[in-house]
Amino acid sequence: MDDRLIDLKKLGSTIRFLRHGKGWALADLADKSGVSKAYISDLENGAAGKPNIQYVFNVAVALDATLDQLLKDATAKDQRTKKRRSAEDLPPGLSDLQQELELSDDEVEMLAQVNFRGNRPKDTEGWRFVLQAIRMAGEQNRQK
Amino acid sequence: METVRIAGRRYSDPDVISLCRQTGELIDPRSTIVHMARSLVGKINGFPGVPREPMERLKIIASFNGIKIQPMDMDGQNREKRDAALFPTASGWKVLYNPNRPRSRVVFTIAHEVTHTFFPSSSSGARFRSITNPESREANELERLCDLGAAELVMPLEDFQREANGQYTLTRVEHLAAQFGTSFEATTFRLASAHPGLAVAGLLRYRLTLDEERRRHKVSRQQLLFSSSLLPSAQLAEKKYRRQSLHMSSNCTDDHLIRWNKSFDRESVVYKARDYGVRRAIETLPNQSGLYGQLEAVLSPFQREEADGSFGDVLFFWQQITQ
Repeated sequence: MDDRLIDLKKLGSTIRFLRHGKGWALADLADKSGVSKAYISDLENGAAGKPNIQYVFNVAVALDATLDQLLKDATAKDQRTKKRRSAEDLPPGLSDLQQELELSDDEVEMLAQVNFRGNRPKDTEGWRFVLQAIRMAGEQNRQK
Repeated sequence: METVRIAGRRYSDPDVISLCRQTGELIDPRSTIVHMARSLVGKINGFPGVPREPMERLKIIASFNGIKIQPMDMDGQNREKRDAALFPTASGWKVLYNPNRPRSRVVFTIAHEVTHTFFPSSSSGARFRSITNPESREANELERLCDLGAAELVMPLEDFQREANGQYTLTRVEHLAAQFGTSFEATTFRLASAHPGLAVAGLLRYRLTLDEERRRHKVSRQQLLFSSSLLPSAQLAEKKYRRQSLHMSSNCTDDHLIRWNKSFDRESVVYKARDYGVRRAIETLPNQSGLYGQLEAVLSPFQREEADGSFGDVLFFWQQITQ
């Protein structure tokens, strides 16, 4: 599996979540899995790089989980990430609006995927208008 | 009972049919199972740290598919001989396996159970390998498909071909079996299915056909009743080596098929595989192809209690000679 397809932070947070659920400290999980505390810490912080599957498996077994449970969400999330474009691939003006309003990647992707009947927005102001319109529509739906 | 026919084969097991129909159109379950197994192996191989030890590697494959593996002595329970059980749990699947079986059998059994989870209807309940009537056609077609997937999981095509290193011969099987943690028999069959050219392997049993057995039984009863034979013994059929199981390379066609029950000619080298060691000769197979190739035969290391005392079960491997 391509490591670009794994959301390492998601994998780490799943491991941490399960560990906390058992009330274990890092040292407890290290002790039960046979994997070093330092590596587990890196895993939980998404800093272990492409994970060693044997180590992740040992951690999964210690947590009474499967690799599928640990990696599934991380993989699914990243498949969405894969579709995300770089700033250069975004329509003109959208990247600037993202920086100005600190929009999330999901919001930007949603905007980039909007199908328009007629002209697409060509600048920041055009995207700001579209975003406001969508948010207003959302508010109206909630009020109803 | 619903039956579907795909690629010349009939399927009526509900699990198999659900797989055939899962996309809305009828799909070939054999190629689907192979594809799913290869896809799973491909995902694992993308990570660093995949162990070479077959059992450890298989545990990771199973876990990747949401399956937990746990040893359990199942011989002690009701004295029923069980290899493994697969059942759904709240958090996924669990395979209980019998650790008292030979290691090679355990590895293949677990892989077999993992393949069961490829079928969309498998969540309907537990399946116990030795409880399902193994003689029923439905059970047989499902189990054969799971064996097909198991072979792909424990002996991945590329790894197997690399390890075979172009030496597709029964004398290579022991080495390959040790590498992949599989039985001599399963490895022999894989030798054919992973062969890049034309190759066929299978198990032969020295026996009569069912009709011949009935006739012989009838005659022996008559002899018992009338102290004389109404049908001379000479007219009775004699046992021959007959096809039991068959595995072919992907390049084979229907012409290379040896139908079930088909006998091998008495001059064939398969009748000489009574001593230890591999026997070989240039022969055609009892099929439509008429192609000459190298036929190898060896006594199967595993002999059934009912196997003929002089002519034991034989494994054969045939490949076309391309020179």
